[in-house]
Amino acid sequence: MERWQIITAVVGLYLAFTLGIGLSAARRASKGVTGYVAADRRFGVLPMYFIVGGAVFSAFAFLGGPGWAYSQGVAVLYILAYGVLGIAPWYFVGPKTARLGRRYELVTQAQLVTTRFPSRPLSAFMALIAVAAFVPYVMLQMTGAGIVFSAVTQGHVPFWLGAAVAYGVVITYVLVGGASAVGWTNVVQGVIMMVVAWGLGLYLPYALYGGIGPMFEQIEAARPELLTLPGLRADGTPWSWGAYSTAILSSAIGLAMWPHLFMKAFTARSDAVLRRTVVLFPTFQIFLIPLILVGFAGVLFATAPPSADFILPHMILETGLPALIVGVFCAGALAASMSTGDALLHGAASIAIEDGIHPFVRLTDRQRRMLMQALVLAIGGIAYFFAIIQQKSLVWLLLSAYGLIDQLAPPVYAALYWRRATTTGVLAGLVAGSMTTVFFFLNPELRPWEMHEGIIGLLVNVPVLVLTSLLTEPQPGGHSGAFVDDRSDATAGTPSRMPAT
Amino acid sequence: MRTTNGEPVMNPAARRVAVMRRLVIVFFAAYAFFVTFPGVAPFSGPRPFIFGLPLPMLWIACWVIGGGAVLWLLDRVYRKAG
Repeated sequence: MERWQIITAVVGLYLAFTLGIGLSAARRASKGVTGYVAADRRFGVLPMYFIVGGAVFSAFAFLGGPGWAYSQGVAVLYILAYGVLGIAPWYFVGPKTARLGRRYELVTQAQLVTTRFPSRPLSAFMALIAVAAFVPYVMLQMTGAGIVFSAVTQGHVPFWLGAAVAYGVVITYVLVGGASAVGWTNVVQGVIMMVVAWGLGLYLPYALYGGIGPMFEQIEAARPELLTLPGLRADGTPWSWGAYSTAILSSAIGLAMWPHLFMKAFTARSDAVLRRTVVLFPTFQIFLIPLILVGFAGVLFATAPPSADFILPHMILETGLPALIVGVFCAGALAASMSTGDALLHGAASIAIEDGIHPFVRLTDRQRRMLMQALVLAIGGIAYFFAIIQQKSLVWLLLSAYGLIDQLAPPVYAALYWRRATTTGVLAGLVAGSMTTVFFFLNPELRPWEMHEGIIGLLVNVPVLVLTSLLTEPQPGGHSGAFVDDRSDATAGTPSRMPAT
Repeated sequence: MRTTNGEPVMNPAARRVAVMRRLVIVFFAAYAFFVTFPGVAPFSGPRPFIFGLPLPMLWIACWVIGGGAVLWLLDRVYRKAG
């Protein structure tokens, strides 16, 4: 049996095992929308920990992170910096969201916002933003899966087929099991990811350089520009402080605003579960350090990969590790891709139906669930198509998704913490911020100080929200109080899900 | 019970939670400042290497670990307050 065949067999075993876990988890959930979207609100600390960690740490962290360290040096540290900063507000926002979710039977982020700010256009616009941001993020995961397969099989399994096989498995278990399948497969995938990341990150510097210190000393002697902040751009010229700093801020603000993270908050059994998940989150963040070390280990390596994102599979293939071990490492990289991709596909389909279609068309529970399943297939197909024809850098794909997601922060914080915010204000801010973000995304040369377009969008979004809210009629105190004061006994203007606007 | 200004008096556990929340906000504001420009600028060069790691990497890793510790403390105070 050839080496690539053994590696492929190990990866095949991993995929079969994951599929089995996903399908068996499907039996635990009820058959309604709450079962499919929120796993009947029954998740404890273990699945929640891996859902949050797995949903955030993806092919981007596993392949893109080492790729950036390898090609752009300490610029990669922005990935390490933003995670804990971004998740900290979730300690307060998460439990409050979950309580409101239980009280008003919410299953999506837009439902939370539009229960406070009743507006069908707002719901549809939030759904549009979420799906528009999810597609490049799912593309990123599929690209990661394709890279792993084509690299480790030395091209015997082409990029397009690798992505298709891995996401065939993901789509199958998401279709059948919904949130329950996503949660329990993430537990398995998270464990594999952590073991592989630490194993590789500690092994490679010692095997190639005799230790972490000697590795960095040799890099400093040969390529000192790689070890000085803010690092380099993809073309090898120095990155700017403006771009580096706003990449951190944009990613930190966006991290806790991913709509699928809110959907997972609605799956938690209790507030304590969510709080403990946030407290444990930095342990996931620290696992980026060994992955960054893998990327640096490649800097002075004798051979170069076809592109920076291939550095991790390239290194494990070129260092003469046994095929079985290489197979396990590949399974880890695939786990990173799939554990995020499944939550995104599930989230995008659920949001499109619950927030984009259901407010306008009356649908039964069964119809909603069936439409969600059809959309899992459709969105998976669209993302796959674009991943195949447009192979972008993994980190670039993620940064482009964050710009739009950042714009969801003002509506969410206004819904939960600002009594004076109004529906018109939130909608005006969101539209203005999103349009600004898209404009600067399409015209990057116009960005001042190379700021991330998401931050520029927020600089428009927030003032428009505040000024328009102050100029429009305030909401009844009981209505806003139900959210801001988190009272269950609010009476006047008790929120109704989606009145006509 | 109310203060002379008519404000309700906080019990000690609630006061500890309120103080801790403020400390957490201050910590994470400092975190944001010291991992971005200009706060990170004094720590942007590779030397000195500590534990074999270049200074910027160790600096940011310390904030990540500190962030975890602060969140753990906050959770402890919350749980004690019930």
